[in-house]
Amino acid sequence: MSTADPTESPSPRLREFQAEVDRLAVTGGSANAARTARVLGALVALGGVALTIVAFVQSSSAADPQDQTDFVILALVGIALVLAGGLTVVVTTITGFMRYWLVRLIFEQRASTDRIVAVDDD
Amino acid sequence: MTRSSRIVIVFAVAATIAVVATNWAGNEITVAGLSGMLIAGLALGSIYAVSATGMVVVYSTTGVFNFAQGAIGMYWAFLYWELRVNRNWPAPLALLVVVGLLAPAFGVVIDRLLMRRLQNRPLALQLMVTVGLMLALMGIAAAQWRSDRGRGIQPFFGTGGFDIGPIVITYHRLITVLVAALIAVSLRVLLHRARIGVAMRAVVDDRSLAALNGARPGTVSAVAWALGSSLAAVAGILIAPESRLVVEVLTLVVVDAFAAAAVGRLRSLPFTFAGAILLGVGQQFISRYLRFEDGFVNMAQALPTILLFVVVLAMPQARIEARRIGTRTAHHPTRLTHPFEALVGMTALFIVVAAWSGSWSNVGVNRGVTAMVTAIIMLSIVPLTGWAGQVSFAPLAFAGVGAVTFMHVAGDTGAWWGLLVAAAVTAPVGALMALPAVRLQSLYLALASVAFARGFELLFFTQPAIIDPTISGRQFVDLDLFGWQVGGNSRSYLLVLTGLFGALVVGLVGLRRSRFGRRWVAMADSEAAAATLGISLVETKVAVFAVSAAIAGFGGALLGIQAGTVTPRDFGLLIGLPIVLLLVVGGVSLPAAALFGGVNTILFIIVKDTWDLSILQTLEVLGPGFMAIALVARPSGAVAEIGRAFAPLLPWRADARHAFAADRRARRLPEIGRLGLSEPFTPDAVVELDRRLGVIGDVTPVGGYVTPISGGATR
Amino acid sequence: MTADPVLELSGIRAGYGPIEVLHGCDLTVGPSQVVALLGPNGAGKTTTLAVASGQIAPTAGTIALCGRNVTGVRSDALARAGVCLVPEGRGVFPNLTVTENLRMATFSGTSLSEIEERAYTQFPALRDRRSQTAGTLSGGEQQMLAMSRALATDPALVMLDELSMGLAPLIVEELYGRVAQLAADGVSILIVEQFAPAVLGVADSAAIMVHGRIVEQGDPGDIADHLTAAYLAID
Repeated sequence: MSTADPTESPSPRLREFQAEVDRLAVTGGSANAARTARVLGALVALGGVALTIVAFVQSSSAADPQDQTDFVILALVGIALVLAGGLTVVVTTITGFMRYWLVRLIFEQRASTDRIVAVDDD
Repeated sequence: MTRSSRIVIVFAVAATIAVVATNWAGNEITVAGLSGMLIAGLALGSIYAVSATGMVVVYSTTGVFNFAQGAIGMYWAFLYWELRVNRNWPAPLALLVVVGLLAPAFGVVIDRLLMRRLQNRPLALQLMVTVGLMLALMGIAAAQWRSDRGRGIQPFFGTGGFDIGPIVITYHRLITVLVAALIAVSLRVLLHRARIGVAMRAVVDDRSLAALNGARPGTVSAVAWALGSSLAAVAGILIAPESRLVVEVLTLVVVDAFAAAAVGRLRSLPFTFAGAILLGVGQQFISRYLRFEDGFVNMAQALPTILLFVVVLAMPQARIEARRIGTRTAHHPTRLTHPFEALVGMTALFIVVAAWSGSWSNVGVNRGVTAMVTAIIMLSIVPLTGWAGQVSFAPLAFAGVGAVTFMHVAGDTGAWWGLLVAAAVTAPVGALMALPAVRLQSLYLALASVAFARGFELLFFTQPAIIDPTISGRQFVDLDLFGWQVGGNSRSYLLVLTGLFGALVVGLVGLRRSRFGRRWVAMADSEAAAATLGISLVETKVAVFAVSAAIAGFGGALLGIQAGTVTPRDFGLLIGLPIVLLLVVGGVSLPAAALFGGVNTILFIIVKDTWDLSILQTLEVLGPGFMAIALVARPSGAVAEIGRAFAPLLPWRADARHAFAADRRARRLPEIGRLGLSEPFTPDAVVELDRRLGVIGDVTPVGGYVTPISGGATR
Repeated sequence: MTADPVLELSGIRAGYGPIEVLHGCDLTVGPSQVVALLGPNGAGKTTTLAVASGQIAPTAGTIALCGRNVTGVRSDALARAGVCLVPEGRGVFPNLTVTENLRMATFSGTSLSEIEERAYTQFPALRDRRSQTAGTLSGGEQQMLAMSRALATDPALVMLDELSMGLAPLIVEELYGRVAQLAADGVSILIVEQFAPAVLGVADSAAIMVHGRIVEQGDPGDIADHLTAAYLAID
């Protein structure tokens, strides 16, 4: 029933479609959890920096020792946030990188296997 | 319109006429008076309409009913005051920033972070999260703008106005009505002329088909929430000059908006407008022409509540919802707690409290008693919301009924059987409240519970015959347990309460495993399936409401014995909300969560008393609010999560260990399958990677790289 | 070089919550190919379309369009790219007017005037009902309205679910005439039907699905012979 020969090059509409799908694959897709974690980690770290600075500035202007202690605690919380956020960023970045590297190795290996098989067949 | 609806409406009209006739204040009816009432009522109704419209737009396009609509409006009204009055910005600029910029941005943000994840989730979760947002906003606003000073927003163009004959119309009211009309017209244009508006209506019809057409569901819900937030801001800013700038007052505008929206069955905008105008005019009529004696002074305020109740009564029977499989989050077959385990746990709790409380100070014992009483009231929510899936925001109102019952039958003797009478009287009250709403969808039940709680707060507890305001001394003496007097904030009372709590928990755990418990859970899983099995939905719902109310009434009586005196304000709607939220945060289907909730209630107070930080001053609403918002990510609740994590450690829980291992496997497999990569593996990326890694040379890109990774790696 | 198939499902497992409906389904639709997916009730045909259109994310397996992996891409994005699914039942918005229904189709990138012109030329009956709400149309008219999205928006891949269900034979014939026309224009089409004869005349290839798996794919003529056996679950 079809008029187009499946072996010929794709029709203009299909090429357009292919281009659109390509654009999808870049933006969409699943498994963005690592990236979200990375962004969140960065935000948390930045928030920690801000909190530490604010607490530091405020503590110097607080007269009451009780208030000063509070601000010191707040500053410590800020530093903890910086550490936690920073660690999240580092860990997710390294895992992502390692995965990519692993995948790269797998592909390379498969390609070389294919070559060996091809040579053997000949 | 069905026959029963007509009967209800006829009765409502007759009752209205009777009430008007008996409470006529005797004011002379003049053209000026009437038209003044109409104009004021129209202006008030317009504000309700704007608020309710926002709610309807959000509900119909996203399916999330926004309890926080009033609180969002409240927050923006305060912010407007801050900019306009405190910082002295010009009105147009402040309006533009608040209504045009911050409010829609806030709507988009909450849509992205919270509301989008609530679509197609159980109703209880949706409601708890929006109520949590409401409390969080109340807490933030109250901390940011302390109530130590009065605040007021001047009406637009001051008190000026113009005269038409004998009638004075202030510019503010004129603007209010015009703004509402403008909003009505522009919404009409938006929903019918603009493509995004058509898409919003399309989503109401068929969400998945709208996506198949290519409409971005994210954009649609973001627009809906931005609109909802902006409309809330407009309503808040317009109503602030007419009422006072008080957190609670502005937040409760939401109840008025509910009533208006319910007239439009939460869908129809024209009917919502009509309901809102009716409400506004009715309230003005009451305050101008009727005079209510002592107990009924809040009649004008209670009108929306009454209207909401009448509307719910008049609504035709809802068809039983046959949900598609998969719309509900599939929950793991939960293992039921064995009564024996509950008994051991509760005995351990009792021993710990008994041994530890000896070293507590008076304040500590006081807090312990508060925690236990709250926990017992919270237990009432477990069968209702946790098992039967019905949402009620009225447990504290039922507790109030129990308290006043006890006060009347045994307040002066402290007889122990008074507790049973309190439970027995509250049970039918609960059944009665549920009766009109059980035939409707669960959302209407939740609304009816709000109306009920608010109505009781305004009209029932205020009656001198119920709580006599003239009595000064204690209304409750200590509980008389066969000659042993316990009560107040004593350690002995704490131990009695712990024992009662333990007994109730064991009883509930047993009830869950009984016929009744199974029925309730079956009904929550699928009303259609339960009905086809021959379970009478009405009977089952009424029964669970009665049980829940009885527990709450029992707890209320204990609360009264602790406090010694009660006032109508103790059982308010807003005071009851944190109780509901904290239980749900613990894990709504677990009786043990009540202990978590009770302890958290006092933890907030302890934190607040320990640190003198301004943001912590409202922690008792802020805390539950934020915790409830967190339910979006962890809907099963804190106690359930903790239990799931710790159960594998228990030697006899081999089942938990299996589940844990299976869960890990399920998480691992897809991750290994596509290696967590979200981007295609292109030759360019490989080259870039090599460059960054410092690998040079011998790797020549092969054809295989071109395929995106998840396609190739799993093969 | 052979062109990539327009749609390729490989090893798809999917379902609703804990209930798995597809247990490893493989299916390809080549460029300008018309594939009929046949099978008894509950075999998972509709679920297959839901997966292919991005409504349900598979728990395992991949979906590829023109050789590009699009697993996990949501249905609205696929629809804008050019995947058009006309769902089972009436794929119209009952409370929207005919024009508004067509307006919804403009998300695919075609302008409203163009869509209206094409839709009304294909189905003149709709022109008179422009401002009527779709819910008040007859079943056949509703299906025409639903079909006009596939016909007017110039999609690359069209999926039709139970087009003939509940319609008079004459209307079914007319609708399948349009499908044949669409196929002649070189659009790739995947048709799901329970009732086979209507579709076998249009299809280049047919596949039988039973219990969530494709058990046979091949020439429509051969498949038709095996269909009864599959329906009656005879091996």
